[in-house]
Amino acid sequence: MLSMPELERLYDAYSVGLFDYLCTFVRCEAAARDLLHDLFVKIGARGLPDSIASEKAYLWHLAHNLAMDALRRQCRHDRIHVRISADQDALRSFEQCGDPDAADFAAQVRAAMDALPPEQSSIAQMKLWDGLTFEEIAEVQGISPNTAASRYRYAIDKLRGQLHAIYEEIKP
Amino acid sequence: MNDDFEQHLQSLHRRPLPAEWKAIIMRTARPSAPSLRPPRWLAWGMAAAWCVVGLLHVLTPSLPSTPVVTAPAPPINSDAWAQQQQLFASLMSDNPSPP
Repeated sequence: MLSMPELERLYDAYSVGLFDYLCTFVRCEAAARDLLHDLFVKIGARGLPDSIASEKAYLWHLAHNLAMDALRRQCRHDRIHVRISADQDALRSFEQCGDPDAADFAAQVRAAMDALPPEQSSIAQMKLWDGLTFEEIAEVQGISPNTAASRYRYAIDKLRGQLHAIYEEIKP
Repeated sequence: MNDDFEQHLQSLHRRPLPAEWKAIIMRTARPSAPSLRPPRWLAWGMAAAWCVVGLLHVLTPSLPSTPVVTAPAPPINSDAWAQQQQLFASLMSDNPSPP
């Protein structure tokens, strides 16, 4: 049984990444927030299985399943959110620092990430900002580690191409 | 091996979620009280045991049944019955009624 402090620890450690992951698929912050809520309700009710190798991979796997179920429901009801509108994008931006160039770079990274196909951007964010290994990513999405690695490389190459100009200006 | 570009991307930090989300989610996601239902492995074990019991019951040949020996009912003799009734009636008529 999961204790309340343990549930809070999981939330503090992973909620931002899980929310970002859910947004990548459902393309709507309100829907992603509801799914994040559902995910923690599920964990609160069931706890974490003893047999899991990585709690991070387990949580992202749960999020992946919830996102896929939500997408199926959206398709059924013909309510697919094709793009995240500008006013819904407030939570998914990166933290601002004082440097306007860095802020501009961060905004362009977010825009470039959103332009990637979900199967690439989701892997890029798990790898870059959530610290999952390719083995864990493979477990989350039910693909091979090689596929995860190649999708990551595609994503990075596309980001590099799109952000080349601004990165050249700000790189140390 | 991460190159400079990837490291630069990694240095970006995502915005934290609104604090009120945590309060709302924690309120509803509170771990539930322990359930009275048996653990799943125990339920499956009991189900399997009952299946084995049922299977054994079906497959085991039944023992030959021993017939219950009962005393045959005496044949009803209507003549004897009539004599008995007559005797009883005569005895009742001979006996004086109690005071």
